Amino acid sequence: MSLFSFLGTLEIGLIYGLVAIGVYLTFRILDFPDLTVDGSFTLGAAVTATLIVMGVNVFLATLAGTIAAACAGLVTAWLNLRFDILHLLASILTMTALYTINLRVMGKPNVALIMEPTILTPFEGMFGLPDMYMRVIFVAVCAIAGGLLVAWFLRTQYGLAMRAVGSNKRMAQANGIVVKQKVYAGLALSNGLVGLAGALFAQTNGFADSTMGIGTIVVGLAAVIIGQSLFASRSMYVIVLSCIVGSVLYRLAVSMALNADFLGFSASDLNLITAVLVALALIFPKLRNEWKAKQAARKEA
Amino acid sequence: MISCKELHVTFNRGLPTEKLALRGIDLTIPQSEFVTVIGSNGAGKSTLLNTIAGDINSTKGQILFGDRDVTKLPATGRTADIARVFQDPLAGTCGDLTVEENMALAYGRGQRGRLSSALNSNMRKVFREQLSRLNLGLENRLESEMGLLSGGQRQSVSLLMSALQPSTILLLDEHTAALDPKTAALIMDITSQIIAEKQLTVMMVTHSMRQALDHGSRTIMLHEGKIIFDLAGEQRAGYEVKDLLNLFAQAKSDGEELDDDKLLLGA
Amino acid sequence: MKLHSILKSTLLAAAVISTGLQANPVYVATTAIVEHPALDAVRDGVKSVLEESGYTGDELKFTYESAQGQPAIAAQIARKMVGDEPDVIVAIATPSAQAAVSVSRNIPVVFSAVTDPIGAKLVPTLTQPGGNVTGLSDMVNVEQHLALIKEFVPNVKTIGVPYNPGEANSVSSVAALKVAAEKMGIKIIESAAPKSSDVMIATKQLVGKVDAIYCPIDNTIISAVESVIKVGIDAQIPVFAGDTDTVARGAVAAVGYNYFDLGRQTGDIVVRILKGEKAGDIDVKLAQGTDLFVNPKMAARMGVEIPPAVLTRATKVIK
Repeated sequence: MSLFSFLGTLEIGLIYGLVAIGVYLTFRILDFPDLTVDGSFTLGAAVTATLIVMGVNVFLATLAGTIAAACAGLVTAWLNLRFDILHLLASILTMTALYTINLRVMGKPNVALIMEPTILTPFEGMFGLPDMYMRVIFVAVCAIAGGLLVAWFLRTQYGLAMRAVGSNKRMAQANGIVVKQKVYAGLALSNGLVGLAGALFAQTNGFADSTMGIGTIVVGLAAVIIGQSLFASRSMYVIVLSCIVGSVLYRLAVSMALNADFLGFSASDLNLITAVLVALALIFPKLRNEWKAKQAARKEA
Repeated sequence: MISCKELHVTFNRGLPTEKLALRGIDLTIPQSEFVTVIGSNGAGKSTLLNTIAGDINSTKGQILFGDRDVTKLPATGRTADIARVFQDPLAGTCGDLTVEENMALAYGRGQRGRLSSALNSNMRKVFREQLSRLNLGLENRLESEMGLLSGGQRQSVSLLMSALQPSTILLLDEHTAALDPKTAALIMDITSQIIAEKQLTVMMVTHSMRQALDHGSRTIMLHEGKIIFDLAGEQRAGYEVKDLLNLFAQAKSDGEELDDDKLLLGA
Repeated sequence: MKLHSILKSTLLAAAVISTGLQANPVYVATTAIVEHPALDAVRDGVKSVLEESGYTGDELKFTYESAQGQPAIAAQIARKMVGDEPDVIVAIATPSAQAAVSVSRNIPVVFSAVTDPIGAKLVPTLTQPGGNVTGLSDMVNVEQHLALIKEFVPNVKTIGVPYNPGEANSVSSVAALKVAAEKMGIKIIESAAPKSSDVMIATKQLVGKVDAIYCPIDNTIISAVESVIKVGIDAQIPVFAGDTDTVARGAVAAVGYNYFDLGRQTGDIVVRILKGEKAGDIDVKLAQGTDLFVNPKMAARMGVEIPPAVLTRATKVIK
């Protein structure tokens, strides 16, 4: 793997780290399987790209993309809470609607940002760093800052209340927590993070495309699971940052699969190789624990 | 003080499955009184508790906390006044959160939503003190996941949690029924201790007539959504389980036999 | 940058060891957004021209990666390719081309099978684009396609077009088709199929409203074109295609380039760059092609006759 490719992999992994944190918030914290992210990733990208092309300030455009995606999360929450539509179904409805909305926002299936200013432009050439380092550092700062903020949030009274809602609604309610408000807030936060990831992806890769959100949920979930299987901890900081690490590892697996052609694999084997590598990442901690248990048993005997 | 006036609750109104769960409950519980509630299955004990808590809307009548009318207030609006312990030990705590996080939730009951840290060293000190009273060694397990504790331990913590903040009334809904006899006795001891010490106003639903007579200062019996007797003071002091059964037989209008099994469970 | 040089030399050393020290072959890295017969044919076309131009055996290092339809993987592939420092990057289809162009600063990028390279911001102009990017546009010659349909169905008034409104290429070719059809007094009726599983229903919607069906060059429709063909047979509506490859799969006829030809024309550009021309000095080309494929068996099953003039002009008759 070349240095450029390695740094590029980190860059994309870090961006999808924000997706993983969003997915962690819904699936794990709120116990609300939310597939909206496939649409909100694209929505964040679409809104941001369209505004940038219109000449809006890049930071404002990114903020707008994030907020738009957060609103998509609110729609899913609303369908579920107001009309009792099953959470999974509510999120699929929003995701499906977003496909059309994204096309409408962009006015066409693909908005190009090559040659447009992006959020990276103000940082280009800073400290004399080559572009490829600057990009990684920029997205690392975004992802880690986002992660720390979310971890901090989950440790506040409000965040703890949100975790209680996902764990035991009745108990939460009995302790004065307004359950619905927490679900709205959680889905907005989750989809906002995913939309931010979409906005960053569009700007670092030069385009927003109507198909770019496909499979976001799978990648996000894989990252969450990889991260959590490697780091068993109760600390919110460790858990949230492990989502980012999981995402980077997932991308490294893809990268290794891309570089596996010398083993006789072809391009179409990519998904299988990625799946095998991810499976290995999941199996390893279990095997390690079993081995440790065996060692301990042997010592006792 | 809390009072219920002419309280009616009807489920599935207008449907063939319509059920009159409460039929005119008049009840006043003064400050610091400990009332035990008995009655057979379906008598309306839990419905009464849930209506006071706001989980169920009354169809008619009034509920007052002091002189505040809370009849129309949803459950979330009443949580500052109401502390609860449920029958299911899993219901009163979050299994995914730690002991201290659970307690922090109860500590902030009725004043939530701030973006300040959910836990601090002050709170931990309070929690440790409280937990040490249980003599279960839980004061050293503040960071243990609640889900790792036994049912009895969880119920003990629930109980402590319910008393962390002052409440207008503490509602105990058969909170020892799901525990083994030994643990149940332990929990009941702790319950009495906390109630006495904090001078709490309490309504405790129980299946056991023994428990109903042994604890508190007043006992009411519900049957088919009505209070059929209300015992307190000296009259109650001399009562035995068999006296309660007689009283029940007299109070019934239709002469139906009391199903001992239902009523005496755990007596 | 200390870290930079250390990391770079380490990884470089690893790369040298792994590839072995051999004579500098010409290195062409190709990628496509997804694998399907048309895009694969482009790749094969590029390779065949390279081989004919003398880049064979050990003298050619030719790699290919598919992004499996996921733009995030396309972005990773783009970074891998730039990091591998090939002589030329060939990027097939719009998202792959955009991903490559956005990260490649100096390595020449030749795009292919992109319909609207200006709209996709790959190049600022078609002539003398400048920079390190040029390529081949597959904007279809829609007037020629409509003329062919008119030869088969002289009284054609309406033509149904199933397509995926989410594909950039399809949207622009359907728009061009509408403009051209209006001039000929033909009405275009669109039917949206966002997924390949929607193609059957989208086509059925057209039955009773149209005199002919035209499948544009659309990844979604082409991947499920058998559904369109089946509806054509059942409803006795002739199905025409925007690409000749689809005729073998059951369309009545199509005129135009095939994707292998497109790949060969892309390959010509690659060879010019390898011979020393700068990418920015080479004009973006529009795909040329005069292939005419007909499928008499399918024509019969869909209830149309192949006009003798068309039959004699055909470059290939599917048996």
